[in-house]
Amino acid sequence: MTDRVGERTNEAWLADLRGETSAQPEALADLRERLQRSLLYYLSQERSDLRDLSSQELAQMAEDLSQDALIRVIDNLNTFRGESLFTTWANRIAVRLAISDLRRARYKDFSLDDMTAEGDLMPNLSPTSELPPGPEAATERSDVIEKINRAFEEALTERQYRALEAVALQGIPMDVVAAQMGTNRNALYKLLHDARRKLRSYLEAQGLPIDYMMNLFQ
Amino acid sequence: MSRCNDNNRKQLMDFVLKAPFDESVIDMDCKDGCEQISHLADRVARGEKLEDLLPEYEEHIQYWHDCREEFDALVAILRAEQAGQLPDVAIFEPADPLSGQQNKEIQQRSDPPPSATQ
Repeated sequence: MTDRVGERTNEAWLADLRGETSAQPEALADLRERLQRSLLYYLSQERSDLRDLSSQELAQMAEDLSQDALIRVIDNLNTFRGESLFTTWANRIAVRLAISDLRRARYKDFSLDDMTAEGDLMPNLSPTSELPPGPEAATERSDVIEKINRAFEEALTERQYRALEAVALQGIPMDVVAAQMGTNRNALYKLLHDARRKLRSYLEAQGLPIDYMMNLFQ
Repeated sequence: MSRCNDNNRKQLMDFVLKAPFDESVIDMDCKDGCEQISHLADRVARGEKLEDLLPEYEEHIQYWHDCREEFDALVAILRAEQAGQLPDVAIFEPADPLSGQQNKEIQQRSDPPPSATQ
């Protein structure tokens, strides 16, 4: 089965999977097996967070995910244009599905609402021990940091700030944040970009050029 | 709400000031079935460097960690496949009474509609 899987061209995969040949059941089985092997490899070798799971548990996860991935591949067959290897395209679909599933499971107790419920909305960017010596320089740095703090408070909507804090500061996956905000990844990208653009514009209007700030935070 | 320490202050401002926003790259990333990224992954898995192939995407995944995780995972799988290191699932085949039913459903999804075969 493995040798036959390796021999199919993109066109053969498509024809077989679409039922244009008599090899459809075999193609489906081959693809499912391929995806399952890929996912089992990924889960068992590349995910340190799953180390406590038994071989059987990992195998079951790979089986379940490969079934879901196969369905998604079949549903999207007509979008495949042959610009990559079909099997790599299918693997990408499978690995993204697996990673999304794992992210959802990991962050199932996470709530964007809880992030703001704990206290201040704004980050407290306090001066650090890395500040250059001298009272004038220290005052300047404190002033800059105060302006940055104010920028977060005044330039952003609450939605923008929560998204920025979750993704950029907390490292919460975008898929998780997007789901909680009732949006999608593409829209979240744009939301974050708008937030960043507003912050930069605000800070520049306060007399803080981008280059200056970038040097400040090296 | 967590407060910034030195490290995450830098992280936050670095992101605010430097993270790229390339719409074409973002469009690629948001598509599960992006063939361009699949093709990149194939080439990187064979030893080519992403920064040489598509520097915009390399820059993108430096700041957008989800994308990096997904790309690195795909490359890891492809490298393992090339090296013959993918595990044999036959060994782990669990008894699943639903497998047969699920396979039938999948086959029905991929079958062409009746009019196409006439």
